[in-house]
Amino acid sequence: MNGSKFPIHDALGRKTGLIDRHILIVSGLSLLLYFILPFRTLPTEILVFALGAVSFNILLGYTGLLSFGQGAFFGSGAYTAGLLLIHFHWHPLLILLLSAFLAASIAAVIGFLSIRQVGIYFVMLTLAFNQLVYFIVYQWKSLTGGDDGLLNIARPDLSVLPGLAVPLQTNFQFFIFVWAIFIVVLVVIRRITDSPFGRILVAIRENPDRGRAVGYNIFHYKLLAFIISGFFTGLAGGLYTLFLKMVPITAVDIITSSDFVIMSLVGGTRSLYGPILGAAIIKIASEFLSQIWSRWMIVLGLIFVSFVLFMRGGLWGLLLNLHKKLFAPKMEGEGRL
Amino acid sequence: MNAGLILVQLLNGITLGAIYVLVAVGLTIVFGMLNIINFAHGSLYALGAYFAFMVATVIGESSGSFWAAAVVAPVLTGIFGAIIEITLLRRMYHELHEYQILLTFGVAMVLQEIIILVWGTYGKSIPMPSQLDGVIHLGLFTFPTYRIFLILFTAVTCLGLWLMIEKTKYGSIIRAGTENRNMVSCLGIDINKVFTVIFALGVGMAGLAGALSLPMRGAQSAMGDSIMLLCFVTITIGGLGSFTGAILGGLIVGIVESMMALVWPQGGMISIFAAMALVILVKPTGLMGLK
Amino acid sequence: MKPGGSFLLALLSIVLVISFFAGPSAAQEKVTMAGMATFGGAYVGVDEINRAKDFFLNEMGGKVFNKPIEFIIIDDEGKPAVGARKVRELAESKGARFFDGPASSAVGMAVSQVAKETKSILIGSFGADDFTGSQCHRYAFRWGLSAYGAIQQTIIPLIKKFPAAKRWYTITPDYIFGHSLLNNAKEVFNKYGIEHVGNDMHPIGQTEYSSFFNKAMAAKADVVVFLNFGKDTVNSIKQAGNFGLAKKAKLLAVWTQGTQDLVEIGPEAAEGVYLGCQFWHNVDFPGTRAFVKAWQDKYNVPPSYPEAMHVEQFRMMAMGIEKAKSLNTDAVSKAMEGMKWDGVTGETSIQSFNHETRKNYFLLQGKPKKEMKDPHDMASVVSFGSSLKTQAESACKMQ
Repeated sequence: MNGSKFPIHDALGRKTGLIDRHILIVSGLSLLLYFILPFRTLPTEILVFALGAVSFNILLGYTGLLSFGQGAFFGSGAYTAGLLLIHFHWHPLLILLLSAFLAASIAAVIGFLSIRQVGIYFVMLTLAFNQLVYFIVYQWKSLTGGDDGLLNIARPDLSVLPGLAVPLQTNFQFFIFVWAIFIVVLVVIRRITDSPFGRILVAIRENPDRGRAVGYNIFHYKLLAFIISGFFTGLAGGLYTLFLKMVPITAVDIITSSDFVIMSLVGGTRSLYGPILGAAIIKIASEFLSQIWSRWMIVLGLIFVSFVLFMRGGLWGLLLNLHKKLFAPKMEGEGRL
Repeated sequence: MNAGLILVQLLNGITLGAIYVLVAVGLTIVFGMLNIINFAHGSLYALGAYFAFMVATVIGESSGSFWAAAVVAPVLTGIFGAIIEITLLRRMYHELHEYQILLTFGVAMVLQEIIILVWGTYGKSIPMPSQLDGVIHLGLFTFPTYRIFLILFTAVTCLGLWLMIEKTKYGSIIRAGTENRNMVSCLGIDINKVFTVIFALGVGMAGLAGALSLPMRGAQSAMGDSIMLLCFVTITIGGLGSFTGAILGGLIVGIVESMMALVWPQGGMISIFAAMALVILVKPTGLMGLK
Repeated sequence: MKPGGSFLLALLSIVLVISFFAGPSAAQEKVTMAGMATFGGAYVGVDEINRAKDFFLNEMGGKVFNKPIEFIIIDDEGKPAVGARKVRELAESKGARFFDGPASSAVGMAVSQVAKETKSILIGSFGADDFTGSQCHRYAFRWGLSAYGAIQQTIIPLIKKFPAAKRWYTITPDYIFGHSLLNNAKEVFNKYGIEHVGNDMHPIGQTEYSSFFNKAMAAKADVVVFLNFGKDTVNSIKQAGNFGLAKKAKLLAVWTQGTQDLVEIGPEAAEGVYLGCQFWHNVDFPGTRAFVKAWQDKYNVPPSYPEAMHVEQFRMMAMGIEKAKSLNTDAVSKAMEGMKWDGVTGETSIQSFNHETRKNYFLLQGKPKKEMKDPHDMASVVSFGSSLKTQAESACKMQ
């Protein structure tokens, strides 16, 4: 264990494993989503967006970069998956990987050009790149279907051996598939963020000058964060295509980008799992509210406002506080999640 | 493509720019001076248009109804903004931008829905004020008189605002307060009130822009969304917090939009963003920005 | 066991128990019909479908084929991903098999894919030709005339009315439906020897049309045709009014929403402008009169086009079910083919080979304010008729 390049320690310096109690809780609860909610397609959508939001939060929560252009990565992943599924009939896992790689490449380019900017100028530049990708997708109709997007995409089954395939056709089957990938990705991201690399990102966020003074190449770390975020966001995009069996152009627009931002803010950016909660809350609330009142967005807006006024740490912070209060004397110690 | 067409398009661009300038000046004052990112700014622009509609309809069809609306609507918007500032934003000044974004985003959603609840889903419009309902002829082309008025009115308003901020005593308090809040408090000035006034002023400008665009474009509940995006682009180009930057940025955005409509309409939006990206890459804090 | 662990176990047990009982409700004998609309934003249309739903349920006594109707309206948010997912959700969780389509073509095409997969009847009036063209399927039905029909019923009558007007200028939204309208228009121009002196493509949501007017005037156009829709048409015509364009050329908006657009444009700008529409409340067909009267009795205002569209489409589903005497969508689909009735736009019938509906499309002209007998009497009818592609011309190959 000592030879591991990215050992996982909690804040007190003790080694924890790949799977810890929080991952277990998140796994269990996210699995239960399918059984608790009276919806068959919403749980999968929640997981896809949760993945996108968690990936985004690598940039905001950990590195302090408010990227308003994640739609570019999500959409690139989605379109890559869509085109590969239409023109080739490769293994879905291979397709997902390729989608993630393409998105990561685009993230590398966008990150490279944007990182040197600060503040609002950085945000607007990421937005500008998002608009560029959207524009290209919109205009290149022969490839992307333009405004109509790509339709009638078949969802393949998951072949494990020649002749043996795990079916992915029903809602439940596909949900389990997404859930499994979701958990694996979560474990990987946690490994990255709980490693020295992750801590350096946080240090850069808190005090970039000091980071520079100690000798870190801030630019490289930020760029790596972009690439990692882009990779997993693209992966989420690929899952989205498999889920919808189509690629809508909204996958690449700035509203999707802002969705990830809002979900992370609502759920809490200071933890890995916060954005998952944010995604779940927003998706579930939207679904229920829209069935009750046509002006349901007013309630959603009020929820956001009250979150800021009363729950500054996001929902995850609130839950942590609750947990602390309930189990205060017997808590092992607060690790940075 | 001839000179006349280009001239008219340039005038159109300046007209569009005028609207963006009014909204952007408001946004840059609030962002630059108070350091608050106000995602609800666009919906206050929409509210200004709806207030103007309300006033004009209440007064009824008379030649003065538009003018009354153009005066009253920004004031109403400013008051509304003041209420938002006092109740919600006052505690946000020292918070992270992230929370300001989420808060004002929520406020924007609520405002948009309130507009629909009060005024319904159909768009609203009022007729052109009769004094300005005409066109001037430029060769083969026509240009509405109203747009000329809009350009002049915006210029006058900006000048007045600039004079107020730069040359008056109250203006100097505003400038001082944004540079050093504590010192101004120590001098015995109620800094909270100053900030409220600044916010109301910024928001009032957006409301004015909404009221002025009402006869030209009508009012729809979602009209704030697109203007919001373009105004962030405007203050990015012009430089955060810079008054003159907002004016320059607004004009650039308006003219690019208008000229692109002439040669390549589908490329309008992306050209605006490309222009913005170009400015940032060359001058990272915008054309006139210092921060 | 650690306290955190027992907490977790307790939570899990509670949740498992709840979920055990929270399964989908037992299937009841009812008919689940669904409609979709955009609840907010720029293309909001929820109030219309809700009124139409209430009107329809009222006239049906809440039942079709002697079974109670469960009517669900979902917010598609104007997005294909949302519409498609929610339709699939309704089809699979609630067993909904009868869908009233969305206003947006992008959403409509996405939903059509789901309808085909889930064998659900979908009736739509969004403009995309492919819906009943190359992407047609046996569960897809169209009520409103497609791009082809709209162009035939607006441009040709104007060509005939103004034989001296030879120079036509078009303004097109850069959108699949817009391109469809443009291509259809070009075919008509070719056939009738019209000089197509220019075209401008604009992105959806364009707010500034002034440059296009100026170019049209530079090209000395006799007629300026707007091939856009919704808010874009409203903005176009309003600004055309500001620029005094109507004094220099005839204006035609091919695809409007009737009273809804006219109200937003305002009588000053709409005066003299020609507008195409799928429905007008002031025409003398028994079906129209009956519907308008019943609607006006209930709501005190005449129905708008979206409201008429929804009601007619709901009625079509109900008629199909009654005629098939079954809820099986294959049977209903078969029953609907060739169906004939007195619809809200006059005599209406459904073509069998591509499920398009033969109904009237109206060419209107905006009335001057002083000629309006009431606030809704905003236009006079210039002509009407129906144009559908023949089987030979159509791209639909349905099995």
